[in-house]
Amino acid sequence: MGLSGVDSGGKSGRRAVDSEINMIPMIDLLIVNISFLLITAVWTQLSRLNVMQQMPGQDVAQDRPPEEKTKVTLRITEQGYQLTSTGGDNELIDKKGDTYDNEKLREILKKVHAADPDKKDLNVAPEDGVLYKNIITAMDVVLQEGFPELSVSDGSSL
Amino acid sequence: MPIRRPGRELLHKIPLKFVQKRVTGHGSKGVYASLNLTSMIDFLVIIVVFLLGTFSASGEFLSIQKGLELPDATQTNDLDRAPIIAITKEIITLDGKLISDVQSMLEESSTQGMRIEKVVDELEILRKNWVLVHPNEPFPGSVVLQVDKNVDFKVVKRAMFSAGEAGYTNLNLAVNVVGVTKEGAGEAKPE
Repeated sequence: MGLSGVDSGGKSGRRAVDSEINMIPMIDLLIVNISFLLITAVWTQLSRLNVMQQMPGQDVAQDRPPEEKTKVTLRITEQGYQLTSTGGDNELIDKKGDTYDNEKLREILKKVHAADPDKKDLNVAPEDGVLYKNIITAMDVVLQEGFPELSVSDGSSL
Repeated sequence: MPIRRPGRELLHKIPLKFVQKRVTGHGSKGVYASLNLTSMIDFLVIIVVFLLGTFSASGEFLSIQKGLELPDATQTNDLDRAPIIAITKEIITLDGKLISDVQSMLEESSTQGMRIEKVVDELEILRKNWVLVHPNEPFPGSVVLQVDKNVDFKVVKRAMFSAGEAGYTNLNLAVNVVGVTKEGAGEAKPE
């Protein structure tokens, strides 16, 4: 049509359907988002295991009805695990070389849970000399097997 | 007629010199170049999506001390705000304040029993402050234990016992999350 700087709308005389979107505000928004997320990013994922402490002379099963009073204790010694209950059970799980046999512990805990599915509490009692990482691993296995009410006490004083 | 070098003949009669330079191709190269923004926007969007995926709304309650390596666990809960007892292989701190070094604490354990006096005193102050600030709420008794994975339980139990003596029996054992976090796992009920 010959008018410079005026969109003629093409040969048919209609308005052009293509229009350019201004990308600058969008890029600004993305960069602001990235800055905010980078500043608030948490790179190490820390969490917690919740455990009640059993003080000396205190019994977890004290306030419960008589039929629920069976108390299961997992002792962690330098030789391995020992799972005992006030019902008279006593299972020894020796170490496999230098590592604790978590698979066997898992199997036994499964049996305990199958025998009493309503049981939620378990006392973990490590002895002196046991490393903290082994205690956490044992607690993790106990939680996985359906005993969410964990308590901890001193295994050396049992 | 003088002999001239061969070259372009057209468009040499335009009177405006800058227009003539442009149209005959003798002008300098334009300083403006168009930038392809599509790939840049793709890149920015991917970064935003990744950062949103790793975003944690609970924030960071704990800062890991130098020389402290936490154990790994799978059945975990989100951290709550509580006093932090940190135990490395060398020192014990409470909310960043040095309490004692592990070696001297083990030496004095034979004379003082399980109690770490400084921990009990500091925690009792914190408990009293909490009760003053929250007069109508029950005291949760939560304390975060941030312990190096290679520390002996002999040291850990003294910190636990001292916290219990000060009324903090709800222990939150700080761990590194491995695998999927199961909400509600390991949620011990207060007695």
